[in-house]
Amino acid sequence: MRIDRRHRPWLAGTLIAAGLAAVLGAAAARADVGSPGSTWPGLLLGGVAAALILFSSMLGLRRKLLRVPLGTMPGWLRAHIWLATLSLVCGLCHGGLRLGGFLTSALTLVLVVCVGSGMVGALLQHVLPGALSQGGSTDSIREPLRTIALLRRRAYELVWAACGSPPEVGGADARSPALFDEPPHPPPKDAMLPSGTLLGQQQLGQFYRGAVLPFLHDRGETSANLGAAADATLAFDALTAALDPQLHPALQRLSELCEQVRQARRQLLLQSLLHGWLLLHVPLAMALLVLLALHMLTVLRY
Amino acid sequence: MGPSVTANREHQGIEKLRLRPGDAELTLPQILGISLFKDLSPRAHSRLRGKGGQGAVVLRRYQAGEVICRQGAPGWTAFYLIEIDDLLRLRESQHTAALAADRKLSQSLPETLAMSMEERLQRADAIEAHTGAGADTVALLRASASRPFPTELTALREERALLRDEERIERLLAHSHPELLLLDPAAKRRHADMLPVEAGELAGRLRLLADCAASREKVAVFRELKSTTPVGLLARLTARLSRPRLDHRSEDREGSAARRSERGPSLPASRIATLYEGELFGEMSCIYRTPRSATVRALRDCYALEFLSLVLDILLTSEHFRAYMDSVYRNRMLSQHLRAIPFLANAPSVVIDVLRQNAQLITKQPGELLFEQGDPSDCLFIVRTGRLKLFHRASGRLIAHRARGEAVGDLGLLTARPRDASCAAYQPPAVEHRTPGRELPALRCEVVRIDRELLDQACQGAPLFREELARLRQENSGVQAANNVSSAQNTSRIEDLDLLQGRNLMLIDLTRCTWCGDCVSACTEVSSDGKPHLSLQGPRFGRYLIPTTCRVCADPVCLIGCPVGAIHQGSTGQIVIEDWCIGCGLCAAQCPYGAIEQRGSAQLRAEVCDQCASQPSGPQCVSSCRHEAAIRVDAKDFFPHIRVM
Repeated sequence: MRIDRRHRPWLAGTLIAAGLAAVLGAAAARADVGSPGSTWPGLLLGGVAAALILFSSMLGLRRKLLRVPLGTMPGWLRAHIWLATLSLVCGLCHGGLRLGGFLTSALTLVLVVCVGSGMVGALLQHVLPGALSQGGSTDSIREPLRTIALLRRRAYELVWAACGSPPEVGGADARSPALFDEPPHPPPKDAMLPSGTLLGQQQLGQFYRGAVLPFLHDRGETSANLGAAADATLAFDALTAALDPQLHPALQRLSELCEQVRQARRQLLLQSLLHGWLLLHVPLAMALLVLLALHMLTVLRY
Repeated sequence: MGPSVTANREHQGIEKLRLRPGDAELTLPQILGISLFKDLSPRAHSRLRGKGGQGAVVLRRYQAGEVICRQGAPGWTAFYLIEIDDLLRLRESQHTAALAADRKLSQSLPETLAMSMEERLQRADAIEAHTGAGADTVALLRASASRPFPTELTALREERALLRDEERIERLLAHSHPELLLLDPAAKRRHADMLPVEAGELAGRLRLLADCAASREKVAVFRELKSTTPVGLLARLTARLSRPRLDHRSEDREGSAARRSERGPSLPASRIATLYEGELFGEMSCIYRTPRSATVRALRDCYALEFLSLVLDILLTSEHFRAYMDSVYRNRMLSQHLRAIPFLANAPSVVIDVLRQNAQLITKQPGELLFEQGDPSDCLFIVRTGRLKLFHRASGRLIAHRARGEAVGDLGLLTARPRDASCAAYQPPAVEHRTPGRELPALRCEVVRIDRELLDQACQGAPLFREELARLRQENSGVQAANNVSSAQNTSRIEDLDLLQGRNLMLIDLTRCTWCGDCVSACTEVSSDGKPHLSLQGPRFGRYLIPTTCRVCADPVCLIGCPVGAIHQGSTGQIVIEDWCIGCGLCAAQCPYGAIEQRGSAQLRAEVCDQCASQPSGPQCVSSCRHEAAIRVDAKDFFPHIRVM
């Protein structure tokens, strides 16, 4: 989601409403009746804040009721962002910027963190998709995990074709699901170089086993740090000098595959960041609703 | 009108027409007696006689005001307004057959003689459904139920005599004074009385028409059926476009759409046209599996033959029928197709008439070349049926498809530059499951060729248009060369991905997408089998991902050749696969974008995104996206358009 010009009316409305809330909050704080929340302006602000929190929490419900004509999802998301922000302002003004007792302190704290995490999420979703779209393949797009699985197979088949025989993978069977989700295909005969006839075929196999395979399968023990682009370039350059020129295209392709895997992993990281904040935001929103209910019951009782 | 087609699974998915009261299933001799079916080869006879031909041709009676086919409904069948001579012969033979059937039934099932026609049909259906045997009894009951009603034959004979006079005059007046045909009989008489003496011939014709209408009112059969139409031939219908089309191409694709009959009293400003006896309609919808583009309503009581696409395929093997179709095409559709070419849009009718009459109608087999890249641009082609494929000769890269009503090479006639692409008739991929021995008409490509010389000759009678054409040629020769260079550079990726095909192309804006998967989840939720018709994998175009899902192609090749006619276009252009799909995989093999999947464990069945046609909020993948990353666009508006010389 991008915070673009379509958010301007919401921003303006929120600012105006926040200004009004501040005025009401000031009026509530001036009143000489103990807690500002118990004054009429305070109660009004509290009621509005509670209503906004409840409305904001209905975004998840709206997603389940897609077929009901209740406005568009982007509209709901914009409303969710700005009304939740406004609920924070109203909530704080309701309490006269004071924490109060344990329950109200907890409620205020959870509200602040929940809205704050939402703001961070909105910011991440504004920035990260652009960064995500920069990386990856320029031709086609797959889910990163599938991309990595595909590249693993491709690397194996590439080394198989270059060395003339399937590379040893540390005693493990290449058909094992632990290594490849689908068994690698034998390269076509005309694309396969004869085994043991070229200088460096053995080194290439060793390099695959020692560095590329652990990197592709995300294992710890590796003879070269292929996770960093600069180190990977050094490692591939060093090997190029030791190989027969006929093997250079295969090595070059292997280097490209490693680069694609790095990009896919970067995408995975960005994707986890894009959604990771929800692990904090959603439980806090649940807790907020519980605390809000308790707060309302307490207020009504006493 | 209710659904008139049933799927007959016993016959490997071949459909069968359902009989309604008053309808009659025709036997092979009866079918062959109709003028439309004459000159069929012995092979065609055997195909009609075979299982596929059973129940494939039905004579239906429609009452005035009854809807024969409705716009937007699937076009499973074609209709033929049977000529009065054929009808009379047919009804006489059915009368004889019914009498013979009654005699036999009086011995085997005497209780059925007391039944109404409808009850006899129900009894026949019941026997067929429950026992599967008793074919002779079923045939007897059906023959007995399809008899003409008592006064019908006499009425038809009287009607034939009237029609001959009336038809002759109407056709004469349709050219000279079409507005007079809309008058009621009394107004016709009044108008005739007011005409000057020198217009005596016209006045006489009008009076005769009024007399014919009055005579018809006396004919028992039509009085009995309360025919309210004051004038008209026996088989006169209206084709009405009840709502405006969003896409004029789909309108053009349907042969019967918006027919402005040049023979009848059609209203120039309206979208209503009249059809006459001996005319075919709904055939393009039947061939292309597109929805009906017009609602056809009986103006008065009439008979029409309804037949399945299988019969249309058989008819297309007849030279006689092809010649008939050629003349129909020249008279009805070609002028519309010509007007769709930009530089002919405002051409005088004299130019269009010359082109229409003299254009060559050519048939190309799948894969056959029309022209090569680099050839001189000496003619243009209009697709009449089938599809053309435009591609780069060296790389073989597909540039575009051209479908019915679209032109190729029109720009070349203006610029005189060599062709910048090769063009061939579309050849579908090889598949194993095609019905053997069945020639599919849509696979053959029929084109109209208009040579530069013919265009120049047509312009001889229109000096102003000739000057306009010369000016256009001069203007385009310089400008277009520059445009082509930039176009070639900017759109090669669009061509590679064949994006211009998409009329409802789904795009994911990668600068907005958070990969939340809501679109796929929403698709799964509305999917009938609980599996999504959308995969977030596919080619990338700039900041957009083109996911794997149906694009609603402008020229959907997936529709070609379904052996059971289960795939067709819905009313909004979406691809629909009916539940009698046999899972042969032909459509999935033909879809270039992998949008059709074969699913199912016990019985395979093709599945495709139907654009959430049943959902009021449209495609759920788009409406569920909170980030406005998922969009559906018409690629021709969204991406620059490519034209090929």
